[in-house]
Amino acid sequence: MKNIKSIVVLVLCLALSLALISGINSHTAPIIEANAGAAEFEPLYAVIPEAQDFDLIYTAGGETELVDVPETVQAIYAETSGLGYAIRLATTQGYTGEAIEITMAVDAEGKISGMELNSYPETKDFGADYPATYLGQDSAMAEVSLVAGVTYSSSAFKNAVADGFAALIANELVGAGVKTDDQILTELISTVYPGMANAGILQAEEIAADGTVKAFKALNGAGVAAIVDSGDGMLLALCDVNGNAVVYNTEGAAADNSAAADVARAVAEANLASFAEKDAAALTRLAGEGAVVTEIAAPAVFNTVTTAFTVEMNGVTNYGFAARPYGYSNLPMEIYLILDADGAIVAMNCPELIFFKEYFTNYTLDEGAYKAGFAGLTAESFTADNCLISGATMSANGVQSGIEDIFEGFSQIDMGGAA
Amino acid sequence: MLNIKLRTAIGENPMLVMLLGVCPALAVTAELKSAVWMAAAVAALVIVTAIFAWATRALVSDAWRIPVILILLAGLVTAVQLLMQAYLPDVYTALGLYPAAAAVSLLVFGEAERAARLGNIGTVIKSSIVTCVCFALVLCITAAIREILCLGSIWGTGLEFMANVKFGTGAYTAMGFIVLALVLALVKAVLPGKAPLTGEDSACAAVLSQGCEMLEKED
Repeated sequence: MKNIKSIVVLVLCLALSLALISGINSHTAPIIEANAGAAEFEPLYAVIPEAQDFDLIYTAGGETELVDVPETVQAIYAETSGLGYAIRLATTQGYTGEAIEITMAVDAEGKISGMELNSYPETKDFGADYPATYLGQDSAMAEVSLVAGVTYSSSAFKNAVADGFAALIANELVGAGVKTDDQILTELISTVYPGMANAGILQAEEIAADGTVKAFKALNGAGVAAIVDSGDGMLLALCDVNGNAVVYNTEGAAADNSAAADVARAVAEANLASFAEKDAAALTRLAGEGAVVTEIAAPAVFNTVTTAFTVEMNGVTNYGFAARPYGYSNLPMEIYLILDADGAIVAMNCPELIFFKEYFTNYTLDEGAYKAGFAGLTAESFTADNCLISGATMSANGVQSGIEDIFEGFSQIDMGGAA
Repeated sequence: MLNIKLRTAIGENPMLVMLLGVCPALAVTAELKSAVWMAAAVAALVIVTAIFAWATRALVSDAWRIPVILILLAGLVTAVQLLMQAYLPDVYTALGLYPAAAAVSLLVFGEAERAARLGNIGTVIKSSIVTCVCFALVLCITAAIREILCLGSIWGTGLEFMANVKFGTGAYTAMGFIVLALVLALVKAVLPGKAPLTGEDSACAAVLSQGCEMLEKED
């Protein structure tokens, strides 16, 4: 009998539950829908508070008449009274690879009028005030810089904003800003002097230097870049730590201007310290007892190679190089290689493969075997796989980049002979 | 000095005794605000379910009680979630699926079982409220400590003195276990010699004993 009563209660309970869900759902459904709408527009009103309404003109994956919209752009809204555009951006180019979400407003004149950081999963903070530095900038973003020490995240942020502008400009919704010559030349540095950049991002501090409009010193101490007003236009003069100099114009072409080159040399001399003594000692240790290490003119490759030597070992002439690529957290690593006359690696050393060992333990590495594994490799047989360190990708990338730079350096001195 | 009733109430808090409901406690106690709303949602479920279990104790046999309560909870949890989504969307987003998990929480079932065995409605309500207050206290204390240590804030407001010493969100999980363990240890220290788990009307013991009885009957 009690079972029957229990079943009746169960059925009644079921009916009560369904009625409760149905009743509350009919009451809350329109409110939930309105909330969803408000959540969509809330970030938009945050960047254009005086907006009347917004028309969605682009959404990622949706049908649109807009063309050439970068995938960073998630949605574009036009403010209905003509105040401009609100753009939702999401980029995974930061350090963690998780999405940094941004909402920016661009006014009808093509300048940033609002900027909100909606999600920031990065480990290093680029500062609460950083997004606000973009306000008032046009697509040239002349007054915007990256944040030292947080270059991945700030670069991802800047590139996302540039993508937002690119979408508007490609569809003639706003006009493009005009970059100044010194901005063009500053952006050129990471292309023409890869030793001053990591993954295309400039790794340099701005320094004050006489005779320059702007000057930068590489964080690895490998060289300097000076933007010089030649009177005939702005020029970019580069000089490495060994005094090799080269000059470029705003078109990105090599320019013949010895005065600008001399300015860069003066900046280098005043701001860089030679690595020759330290590197000679390190290569002597690597070559072993009885080796004679003699400095030679380093090739003008403008990568991370900082010194070059001949290394006499048992009557055989080999070549020694040091490179300072960027590893974990963009800190410069020291890579030492001894190559034989055919360009095959004889010995490799990297005194500190893994930075912050005491905190960073998520890698597996037998350092001795790892370094010995490079012996015999040449520019042709060397691949990224030779550098793999499981759990320490940044360090592995640094090793790869340093060795590739040294092979390039070797190719420049091999046929020319030791200077 | 704590009086006997309070000592008993704390000592018999199902969360502290048998870690009932510890899953949502660890999941939603990253921030105090989330913990308060989770505690409120669970309290509503516990009290309504306990009253229902008491009111139907003469109609529903022990064997049928769990299915009946589960159906009731399904409706109640959905209702609570819909109301949160409509009127407290931020809280709804912060809590995620955990209010739904309360539908299968032993804390709720245990309290319902206990209610079905109690004599009068006043005792049922009082017992449920004490359980909910204890649950809420543990949840909120754990959340407050975690929020201060991991995020350097309290109720969403940054604490300047924690700006440079906070552990960060990476320490959420470990800090949850550590803080909960410390709270449990504190209770043991405050109530030396108490062994509330052996009490026959302990919520958890009631559920477990019912399960054993059912198995015996099947044999």
